[in-house]
Amino acid sequence: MTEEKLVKILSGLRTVGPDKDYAKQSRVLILSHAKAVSNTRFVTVKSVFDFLRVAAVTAFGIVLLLTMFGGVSYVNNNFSPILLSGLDQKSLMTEADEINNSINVTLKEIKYLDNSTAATNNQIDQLAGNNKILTGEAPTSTTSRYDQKINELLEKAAQ
Amino acid sequence: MLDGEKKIIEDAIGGEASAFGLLYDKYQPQIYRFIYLKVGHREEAEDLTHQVFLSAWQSIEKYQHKGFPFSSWLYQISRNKVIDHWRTRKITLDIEDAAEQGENDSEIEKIEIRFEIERVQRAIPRLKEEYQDVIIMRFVEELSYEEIATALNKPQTTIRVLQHRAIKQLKDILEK
Repeated sequence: MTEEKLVKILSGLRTVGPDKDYAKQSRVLILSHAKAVSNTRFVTVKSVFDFLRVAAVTAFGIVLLLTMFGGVSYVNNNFSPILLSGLDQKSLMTEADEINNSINVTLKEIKYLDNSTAATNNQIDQLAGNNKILTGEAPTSTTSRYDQKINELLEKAAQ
Repeated sequence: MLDGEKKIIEDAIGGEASAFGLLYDKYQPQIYRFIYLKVGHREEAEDLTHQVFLSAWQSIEKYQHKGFPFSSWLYQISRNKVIDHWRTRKITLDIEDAAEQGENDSEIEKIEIRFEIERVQRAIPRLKEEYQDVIIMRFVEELSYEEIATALNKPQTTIRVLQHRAIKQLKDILEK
């Protein structure tokens, strides 16, 4: 048998078909079964919606809880007194060092000012004493060492 | 392919029985033919065809339209049904097939072409499973290589090779 003839015979097999009564009966059976499937599908869809509703509520609850815990965690991380930058040990040490340094500077300044004030006072007293001696007035200031010595000597001499 | 087949399939997926009825009317004869030529027994073919369409209707949500006729999917289901059929009822069918051959002998003597058709029809189930599929889809149903490749989930080049081998084996069977 040639290939051409074989192909022609094979295409002739297309006349093979199902019995018409069988086809109708099968169709009715399948489509009637389909109704039950549709009902089942409806119930399934309904149950899916019910499930989704419960799932949505659950999910909302979970989200709420997470938000709450997340909020607490956020507050702890950002506003906790333990973690406040003002109470941070390093920054406190730095701040303390800075204050300490500024106090030292201030003390030095005070000491310097004190010394310079004393020296200035001495100088003023000396100048004032010299000036009174020159003008013949008795020096009124008793703070000067020289004046005190002079007074002592004068008293001794008067005795 | 049916006019507006995509829409019809969508309606069927949505649970519209009349839409599936249209698909049944269009594809039932060729699916029946495919199965009948593979199993070689009318009642078995009717039963399997019924099962194929019932399965298709029950699981139509799984169908994904990729531009090919709905029959490609039905052929896939049919092949699985026939394979299951051979697994469970092979011995019974062998006996019935032999009995049917005897009955047909008296008829095929009358018309030569009818005889040849019957001969080829009986030879097809003796082919390898995939050769049967290619022979029926390509030469009986005249599907394109692309459609056959989709239905059998194989590349088109493989389908061409299978077709060549199937014809050769069929000729060998008929010459014996």
